[in-house]
Amino acid sequence: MDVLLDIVEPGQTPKPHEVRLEDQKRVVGIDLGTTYSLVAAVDLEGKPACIADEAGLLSLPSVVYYSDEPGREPVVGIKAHEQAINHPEQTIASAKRLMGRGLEDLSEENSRTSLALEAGEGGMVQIAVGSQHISPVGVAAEILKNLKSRAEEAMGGELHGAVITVPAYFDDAQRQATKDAGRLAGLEVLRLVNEPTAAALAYGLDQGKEGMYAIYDLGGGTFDISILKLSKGVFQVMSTGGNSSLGGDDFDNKLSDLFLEEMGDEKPSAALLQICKQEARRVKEQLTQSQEVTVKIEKPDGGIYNRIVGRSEFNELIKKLIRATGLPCRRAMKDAGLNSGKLEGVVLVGGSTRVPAVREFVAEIFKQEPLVDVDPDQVVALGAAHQADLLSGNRRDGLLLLDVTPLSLGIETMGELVEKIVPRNSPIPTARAQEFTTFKDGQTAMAIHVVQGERELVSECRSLARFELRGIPPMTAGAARIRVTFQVDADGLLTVSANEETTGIAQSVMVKPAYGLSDGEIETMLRDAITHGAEDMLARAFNEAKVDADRVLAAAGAALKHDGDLLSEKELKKVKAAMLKLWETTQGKDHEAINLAIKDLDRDTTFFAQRRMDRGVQASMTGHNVDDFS
Amino acid sequence: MATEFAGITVTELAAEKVLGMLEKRGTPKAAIRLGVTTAGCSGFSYKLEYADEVQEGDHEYEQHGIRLVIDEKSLLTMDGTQMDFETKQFKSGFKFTNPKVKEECGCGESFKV
Repeated sequence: MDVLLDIVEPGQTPKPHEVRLEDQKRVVGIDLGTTYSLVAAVDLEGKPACIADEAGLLSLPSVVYYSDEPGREPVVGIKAHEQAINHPEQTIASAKRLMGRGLEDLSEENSRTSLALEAGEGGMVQIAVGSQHISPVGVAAEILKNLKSRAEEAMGGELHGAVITVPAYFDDAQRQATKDAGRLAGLEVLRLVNEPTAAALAYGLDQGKEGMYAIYDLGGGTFDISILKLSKGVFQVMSTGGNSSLGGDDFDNKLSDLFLEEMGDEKPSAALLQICKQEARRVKEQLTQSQEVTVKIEKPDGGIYNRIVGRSEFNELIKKLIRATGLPCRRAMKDAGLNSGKLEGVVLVGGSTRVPAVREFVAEIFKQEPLVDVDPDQVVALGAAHQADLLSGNRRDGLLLLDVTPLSLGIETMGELVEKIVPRNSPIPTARAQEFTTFKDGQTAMAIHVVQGERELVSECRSLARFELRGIPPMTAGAARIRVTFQVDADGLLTVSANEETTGIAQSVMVKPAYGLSDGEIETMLRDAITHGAEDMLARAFNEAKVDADRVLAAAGAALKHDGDLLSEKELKKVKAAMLKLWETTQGKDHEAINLAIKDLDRDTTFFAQRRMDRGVQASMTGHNVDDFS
Repeated sequence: MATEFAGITVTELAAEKVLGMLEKRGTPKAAIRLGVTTAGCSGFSYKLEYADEVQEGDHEYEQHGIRLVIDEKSLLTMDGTQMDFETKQFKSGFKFTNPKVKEECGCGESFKV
């Protein structure tokens, strides 16, 4: 490495590898992408710029090749990509899709990969490569290491830290996995920043007009839409949406399929498939500049396949794919509570947004021309570098970054109901607390079940963690005061704590859920929450009524046991009949019937309650002189 | 017997940068001390400091309006070195081109002669 020296005061020459003040300023922003990754830093002129490798390339393919030979270092980037043809099962691409996920979450992923996915520690997915077991975190760490050494070479010394970007929909497990990868690569992760937020920062939108901005990110294999709100220099993610299996690669496939179809080759060789895909990609890229491109492919029989693809023909071919991005866009805008006309700006991210038809569609759906000045491949890394620079204290004009929770977080309450504590799309970091109490007399422990999701019933939500608060002093039901606090930090990681306020006993858990959720699943959960909204509300009403009924029945039963002798046989029969009727309603489905039966029982036992109270008063007065009460 | 030294040279650009830094430090007449220390993973590493005084036995060179001093022991491993200033996209600083260096460690901070 080229070492460049500074002049220091006499006797202040640092020892090799000693950390100096200027080392702390050596920070980078990393866009850890599904297909490509980039690293950027603020250059000597104070502008963020992407850092090239030795060959002058900015984008590092997010591909790692693991050799069978023991002791061989994994190969990263283009060289790994080249191995994909001959050693597909040893070449790991798109590891980002596997980050922080369990094998069960990945059935769809599993079916379209040539990798041998298996369940590893704690159910997390890992990849079997020969005798090795590689975790997605390990793969990401190799990519990060490569970018780190590139940056250290360019910046002339060890890195102090990095800001790494993640999709806005990444859940706790996926964010934690990304942090772990950073640590494994020897990087101090200053912060995880959402990709759309980084893109907005790269455009300097934080200096711009206050209001709502849309970030439209169409990459090679994924589509993400995010709505950000800027107010007083602060960005807040209002909503997110997308499609985890839609991207520019699908455009290539459409073209490539067309070529193969026209060639009439029904069982094309792997080599021909590869050539067609490469050719499709070239055509797509050239069509961003030209109106038509000539295709020439040598067929296996020696003949030449020759044709011209016009831009309008290509547009027609990919029209459906582009239109498919419309629904998530409209939904995200609806979630953010705004009409398309109310946006201050639209930012394009991802190489696929170079396709003119995509830009036209974006302009149409958001009713304005998108911003295109910053390279859409680099924009996220550049914004991350800007943020890293602010966090390292190199600048004073720092801005606070806010992100949001992708799904609501809550706990299970009686009746298998969910009490939402942190609603979906809450800005983070956040801390919210709510008080709960005991359900039964003398209850000394409380199970805290942390769930994620929009539905009203626990069984329809995602279970994140369970823990118990023990040592609650025995009290009558409802007397204990248990405060449950949900804290989501700036990286989106959740800590849940519970403490009983009269005694101060406390218990907390840091939630690193073993299983994450894909954006597809989040989308499904959201959609279900809407379609099942009415049904859920009924279920909630029923369960609440049933909890009430159980409590009333238990109380009445206890009263009969202690003071049943206060009732005549006829009266006893009436009370028992009302109790039976109430119990019967709880076996049905109608919450109104239950509530009615509770009222009836209440009415039928009023006189009983009166007599019990009289007896209680008498009992407490027995043996006392009347004077004692005056 | 006295060893013949080729000495240390400095480029015009490096001299200009040095002058600027001396001005900023408030000691426009001070010298710059070059040298080597014996720490690091592969033998020697460079030293580059402001020099308010010249020590006995120091060699002194003057070029492009700045004074460079170096002790004789260091000169044995740095003779013929040219001091330059480089500005790249993400870093800038002084660079020594030392004809005596045979091997550098991976980190580039130390070297062998």
